[in-house]
Amino acid sequence: MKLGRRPKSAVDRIVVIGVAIAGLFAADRLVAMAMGYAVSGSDAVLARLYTGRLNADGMVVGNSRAAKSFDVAAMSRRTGQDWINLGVNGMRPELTHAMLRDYQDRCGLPSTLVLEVSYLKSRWSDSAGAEFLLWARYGANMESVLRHRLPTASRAADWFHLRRFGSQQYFRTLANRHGGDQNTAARRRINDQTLAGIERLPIERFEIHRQIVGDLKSILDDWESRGTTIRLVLAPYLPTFLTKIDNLQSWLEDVSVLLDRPIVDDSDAVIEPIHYADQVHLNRDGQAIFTDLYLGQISSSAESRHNRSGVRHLGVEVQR
Amino acid sequence: MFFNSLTFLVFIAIFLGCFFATRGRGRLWVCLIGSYVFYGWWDVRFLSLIVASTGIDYVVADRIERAVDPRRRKQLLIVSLISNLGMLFTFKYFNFFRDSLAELARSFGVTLDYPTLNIILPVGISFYTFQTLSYTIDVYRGRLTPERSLLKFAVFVAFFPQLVAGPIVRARDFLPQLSRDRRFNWNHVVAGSVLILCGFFKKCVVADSLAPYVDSVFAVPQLQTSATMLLGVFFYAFQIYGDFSGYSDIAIGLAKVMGYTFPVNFRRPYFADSFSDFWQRWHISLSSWLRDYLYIPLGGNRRGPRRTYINLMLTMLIGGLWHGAAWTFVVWGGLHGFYLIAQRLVSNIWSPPSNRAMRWVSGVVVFTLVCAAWIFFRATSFGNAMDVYQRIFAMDKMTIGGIQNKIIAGKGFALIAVLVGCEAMSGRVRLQARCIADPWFLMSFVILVGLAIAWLGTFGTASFIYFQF
Repeated sequence: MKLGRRPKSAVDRIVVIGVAIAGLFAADRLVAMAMGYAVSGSDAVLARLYTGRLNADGMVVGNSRAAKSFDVAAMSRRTGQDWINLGVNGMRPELTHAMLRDYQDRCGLPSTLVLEVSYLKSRWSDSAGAEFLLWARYGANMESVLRHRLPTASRAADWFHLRRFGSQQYFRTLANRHGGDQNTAARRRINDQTLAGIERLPIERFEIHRQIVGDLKSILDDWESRGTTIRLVLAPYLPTFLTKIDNLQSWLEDVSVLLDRPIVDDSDAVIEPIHYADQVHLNRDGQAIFTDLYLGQISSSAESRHNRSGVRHLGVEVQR
Repeated sequence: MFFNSLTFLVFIAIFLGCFFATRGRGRLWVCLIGSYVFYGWWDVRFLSLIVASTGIDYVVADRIERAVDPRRRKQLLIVSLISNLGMLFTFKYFNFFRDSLAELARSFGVTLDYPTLNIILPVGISFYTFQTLSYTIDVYRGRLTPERSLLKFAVFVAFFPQLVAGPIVRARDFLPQLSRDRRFNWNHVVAGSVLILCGFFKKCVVADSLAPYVDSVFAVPQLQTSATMLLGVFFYAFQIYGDFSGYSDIAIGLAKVMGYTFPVNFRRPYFADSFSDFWQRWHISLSSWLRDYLYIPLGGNRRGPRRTYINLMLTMLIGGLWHGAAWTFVVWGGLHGFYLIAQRLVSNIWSPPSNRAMRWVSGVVVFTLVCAAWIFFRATSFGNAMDVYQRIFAMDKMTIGGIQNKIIAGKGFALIAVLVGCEAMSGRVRLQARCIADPWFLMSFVILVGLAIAWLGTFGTASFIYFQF
């Protein structure tokens, strides 16, 4: 076959198809390798975790509420310890627990773990899981969860390596290649229209997933037995939104009983709407206030305010 | 069975093997059985509807042809209309009209207690109903000789590439193609495969990447900033375009691989510079169906301006209702009817200069108003649509800083830019011809699009939007 000419014989056509397919696989591997190289060199927190470059005294874990409620730079300054925030948007319990185990395998154990527990209400989501295909390549626990939950997507990623790099996780890793993902709280304040919109939201119920909570308990028991201090907390919600959660108290009590540990209920710790970016996330101002409160609370260890089920109330109201 | 699933990949490999290994009636049987398997994979019970529709229209068309008495011919046509539209009404619109009637009666203080049908909407019923209707009407009008072979007619109705989401193929275009055996043709395979790859890119890469953003902002519009909401609507315009035109490309490409030619269903609709131009570019097989079987029989534009406006509005309202059993779709159609009427009224009193700048301005106006109408199309209810409009017109945080989820938004923008860029170039580069003529071009195209799909594509989880219609 002459290059650049229309293929005429069956052999020519098979060659064209063969070269196209081989070229596709070769290009896939090549581009994926370059992308993997970019991940390895990134200072984004998950990239550091999964390449074994993360070493911290204290860590905050959970979903976007964990990411936006705690200012770890302030925590590091105040405590003199090195804190990291491993809160990830849309985090699901199965993924969080795999990440905790991968952290243990790759980076050892922190001296303190602060777990923002609202992620425990979330159900598994395939799209959220697919976001973590990138890290399945680096962490055995994450890979095991995803192979079980997303067998087809995992197999597809075996065939086409690029599939691991199509997620937001990858783009965030690139965007934060020089770090800077440790404080993602927004600067904006919730506005009146959004506040009015929240009034019209339907009532929601938090679900208990007993098996998942049981899984977390085994991790916490293990870590605690090895000397890690475990602190469970529910970060603040906008008070108007709190009224839209039907069973928050009973949910917290159930989780606390299942985990056999107290949970600090800070859901109403910040009451002013100006300290929120939306109904579930604090803004920068709110984050600073809450971090301050939280640090004050853990240093004074207000253990006396346990209630019978083990849920503690910080009960601090922040005034403007 | 979705085109973007592994099951379909296995299905099509087996199907094409059998298709090219057979000839004549054997091939038609392969097409029919393959199509029924494709449809039955979703729900085998609803195959009975396709079989019934096929049987009724085959017999009715044949009787119409034989009948000499015009009244008898009309009666037979009515039988076809009632049976086809009856099925469509029962499965798609019964509960909608029942609820609407009950709501109306309630507003007058009357309680109606009609039963609710506990049924699901058969996939693709709107498409194959219109397809078979056009056949019977064409036979009635004497524009088509009825098909003598039931097998061939059954393949025409159920042919899987276009069965569930179009394009709506006319019998006079497709039936003659079934009469001739298609040999394996490399050029057809290349041209079809190029279209299929383009379709997968539009659907799996562009539409499905935009979908999560759109879904999240439309789910709770009251919690979005104006900038985010506006972006959500903008993304939806491209999501639905990528989704539907992607499906059409895959369907047309599959048919092309087998050697059949389907009509083009989309022709760069967002490049339209008027609303009538938009409807000559968007879902062309439906808009031409509505024109030929509804607008023109109603009188078209032959009975004076007032009647023309009424006909336009009626056609667009019915077109809206065809898309879904909800008043939001009717409003969407009504808005487009209003746009078309307004365009005629304006053009009567002012004809804009026909230069490039003016066409750009017109294009932007048309696109903006089309997006405004998409809000009703996407919204789950009137309240939802109103929330979206309210958020947009609140005009709070109309800055880049006001956009939420900037990484997904950035990715969406980049993909839209690629799509629009490719569409803009498609007028100049004859992609299929280049791929056929130059193996290097073909290989580069396959590798490039394949990489994009492998990198950013979503498979298996996302259905096609138009399946619900």
